[in-house]
Amino acid sequence: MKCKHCIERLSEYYDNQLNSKEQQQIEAHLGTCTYCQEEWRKWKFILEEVHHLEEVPVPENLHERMLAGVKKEQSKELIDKNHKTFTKYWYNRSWIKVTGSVAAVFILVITLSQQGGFFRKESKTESGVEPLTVAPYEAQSMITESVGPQTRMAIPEEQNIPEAASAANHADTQANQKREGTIKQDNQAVVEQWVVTNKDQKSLLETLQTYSIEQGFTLFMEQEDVGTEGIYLTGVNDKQALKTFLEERGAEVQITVQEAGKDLKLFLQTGQ
Amino acid sequence: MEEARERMLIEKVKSGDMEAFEELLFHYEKPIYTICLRLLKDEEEAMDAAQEVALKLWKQLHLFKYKSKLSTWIYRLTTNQCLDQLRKWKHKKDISLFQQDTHKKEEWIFEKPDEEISIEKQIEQKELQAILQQALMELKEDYRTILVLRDIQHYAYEEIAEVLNITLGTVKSRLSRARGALKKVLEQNKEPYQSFFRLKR
Repeated sequence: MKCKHCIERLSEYYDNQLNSKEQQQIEAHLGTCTYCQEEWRKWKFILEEVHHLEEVPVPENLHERMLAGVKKEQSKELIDKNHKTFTKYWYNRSWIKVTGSVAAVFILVITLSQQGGFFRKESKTESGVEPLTVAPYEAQSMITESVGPQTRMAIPEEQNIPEAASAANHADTQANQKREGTIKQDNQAVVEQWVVTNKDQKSLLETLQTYSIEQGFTLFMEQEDVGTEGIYLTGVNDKQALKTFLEERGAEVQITVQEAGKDLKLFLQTGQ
Repeated sequence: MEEARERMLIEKVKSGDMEAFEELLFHYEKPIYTICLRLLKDEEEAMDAAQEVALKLWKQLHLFKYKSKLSTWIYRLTTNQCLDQLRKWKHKKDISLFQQDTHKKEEWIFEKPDEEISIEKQIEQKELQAILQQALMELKEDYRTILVLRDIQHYAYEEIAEVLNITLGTVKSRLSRARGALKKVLEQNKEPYQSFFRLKR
């Protein structure tokens, strides 16, 4: 065996990676060659010293320091989760999904005022209008899709808010897997706001409701303050298209608060 | 840690269990930090890197699909983190541990102090370590990484192949060249290397 060949194999020899034949060859050569013996000695010396580099001065608080960032991240995740739960709860508490005409909204107001704000479950009336019932909260999953022009109200079932929260959270957890999102640092439910000025609010609202069904986003009208024309939209994938849609129908759209995300609040006002 | 327990902890962490994460972290934090320190040399940088690795571990564990061992996966995260940091600061010149940070040598306290070793010996040992660390930093990153994984962390060739995503053959050849390069650095006829082979344990 030549020295060059031997030295090339020293690394594998050191790690017992050679087959027995090669190993014997190396050992035989090392037995007779002083140059390679010296090389081998240096190899061993160096690598034994390198082994000792495992003994590092480990900081006493290594665990806490490594954990600090993780705990901070966990807090952020929990806040975001609670923020979304709260937002959905708040929306669902105060808003009713309107899938029919505006008339349904007024009927609702009358029904509620007659009931004095107390909700109880009732069956459908002949007109097809279902009075609002039950608890002040409803789960996201209960909001039904609208079918046709028939006036309907979503009937909330009795559910505890934790269930609602967990139902909402399940989807959120999936989304949060990517740990993305526009988490507001101050945890406020900040939403993009538009002021929509037009001549015929009733007509515009009807068109908007139809559009919402076509586009697959949800429209909520404020229950307590009907008349302020505050409308919440959620799940708007293409805000620009919506803006164009409104403008094409003669409305003037002014973006008063700009935010990322698929939620919007519209203020309808009458104007020329 | 036995495999079944580790698997249970992993599943718990995937559903957000911080206690389970802490237990996993206890098991891996020292090798993570060791790799970072040996690759990055600087204690502060090593801590930054280790903290990043812990955070990534928390955020990305849901991606772990048991295709490799958890240890392999973690060490891959660690080496990649260090290599990323090194590439970011590539424009900076390597600070010579020996020449500029001599005060740091005294801060290196061995974990297994042997009272029978004389003070002189202890100083010699510290010098050896310091020289070695500097030599390591002179190597290119690929060589340094494979040396850290094999000769400091003692990982098997197969595991190294997985961590670095290279073949077994590449592990053998790269390790051989890395060790050869380290030897060449240490044999240079300049300080601090001139005293290396004279210092003995």
